[in-house]
Amino acid sequence: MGQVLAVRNLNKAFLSEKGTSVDALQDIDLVVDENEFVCLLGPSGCGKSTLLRIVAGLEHPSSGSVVYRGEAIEGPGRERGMVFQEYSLFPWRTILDNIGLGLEFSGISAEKRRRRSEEYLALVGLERFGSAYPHELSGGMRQRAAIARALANNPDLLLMDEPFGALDAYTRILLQQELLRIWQERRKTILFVTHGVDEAVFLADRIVLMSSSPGRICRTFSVDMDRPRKRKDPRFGQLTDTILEELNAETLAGGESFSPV
Amino acid sequence: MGRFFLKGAMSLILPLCLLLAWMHLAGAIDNPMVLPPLRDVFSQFLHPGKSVIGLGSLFQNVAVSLVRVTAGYFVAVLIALPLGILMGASSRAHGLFQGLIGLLRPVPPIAWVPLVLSWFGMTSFATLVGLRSGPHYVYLSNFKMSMLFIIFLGAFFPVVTSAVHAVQSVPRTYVDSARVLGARRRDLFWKVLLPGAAPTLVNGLRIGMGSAWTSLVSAEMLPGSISGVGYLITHAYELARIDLVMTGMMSIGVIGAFLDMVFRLFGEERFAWQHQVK
Repeated sequence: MGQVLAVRNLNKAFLSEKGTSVDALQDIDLVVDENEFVCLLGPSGCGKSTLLRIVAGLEHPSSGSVVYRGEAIEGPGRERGMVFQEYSLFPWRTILDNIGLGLEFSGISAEKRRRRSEEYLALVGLERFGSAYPHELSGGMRQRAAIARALANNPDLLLMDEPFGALDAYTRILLQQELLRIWQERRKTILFVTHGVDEAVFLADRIVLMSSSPGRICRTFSVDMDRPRKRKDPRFGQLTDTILEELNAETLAGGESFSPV
Repeated sequence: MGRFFLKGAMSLILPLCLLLAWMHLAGAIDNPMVLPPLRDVFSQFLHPGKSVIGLGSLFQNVAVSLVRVTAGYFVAVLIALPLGILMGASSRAHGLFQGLIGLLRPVPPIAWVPLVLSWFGMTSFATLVGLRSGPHYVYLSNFKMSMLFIIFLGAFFPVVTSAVHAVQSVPRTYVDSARVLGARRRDLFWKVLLPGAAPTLVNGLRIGMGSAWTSLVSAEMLPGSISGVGYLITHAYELARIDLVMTGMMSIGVIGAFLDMVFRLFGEERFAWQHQVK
């Protein structure tokens, strides 16, 4: 299996409002292989979203290299799609026109765009809502549409920034199953940011655990359970427990304890 | 539809109360210099075509004022809107213009009057097209550059300021998600920033229109003005015709409220989505 993404020795420092330099990410090394589903897991403020934004090309590292299939990442590219936490759909466009946005940017004809958009609309089960506006849809439906929009551009690597973070527990579980189905059907590589341990254990092939101030990778777990995974499976609970303990140990210094979801 | 009328009726309650209070107070005070009877003022509205105190009819004066406001406002929007959008989109443009705009904005239009008069003098639409006399001259000389400039100033700053704000407050997630989908700079501008800012832009145009209409009276108090609702008020005051003063005031109020409503209805209809977005 080939390497899709290789992050080496990456550091990222921000200037705080007082003008001092704050280390957001320190010595990050991360490799993501073809068709792999990797979760970046960590408490808020550990820089996992920053890392994802750097891979997307929306931000630049202070030092180190980020290489996508042998080429250094300079900026955003169609081959790396991204799904945001919420409110990323354009509220003035219908769902169908939102999904066709990437195709529109690449100058594909309206007719072809419509057909492709409808195909992806169906993929996420929103056939009946193509002409609706985002505010007319529930949060879960909006995130389905956001996923369809990213996929319609046919990216090879899908970056997801807590895409289900704002959803209620039931909808979240539903969309996790949907995402796995789509991932298996379309053979994508996914880098998924979450602060939910349960979510990571349910989804990932590999969980990359991060700790905060400065943001570092503290441990990596391989999840060797067949899919569909059952939450009642004892191994599921065991792994969740191990990760939680590790997280609590890491965040104890900050006085913040970690919840399972 | 029923709710629409209910809301309309609600907003009329207090103005009607005011009219009632006026009617009773005018009777009790019985001094037209303090508060003229309501019917005197309303009879002006019932005969809008009748010439008043040698200034032409109410209707003519309102029309002249409307054309002035529209012309000054139009020029202001033509410059302020693109400038504000540019400043909102580019931090470099913002840095360049912000200081100057910040310094000029607090100066009220009326403070410009002496300068504006010495700059533009009696220049009007008529002198611009080379007319010196004739019926067209009489009409076109109503539109003096000095007045248009005062109205321009009244509209310019609210429009430019709110346009900057409109573009700057487009959520970053919209821009980011367009960029990862492959948007070029041109796409970002036309397909993200502009539609995202549109509701706030229209609201800024609305505030600018209100402000232009408000500076009308200042503009029409300039020397050389011989028409318009603002001048009607000044001149009626000199003749102690308080009923006409109030007619003028009410015309300004009613027309201003009407223009504002047109903008609001357009905005609400066109940008229904914005109420549902955080």
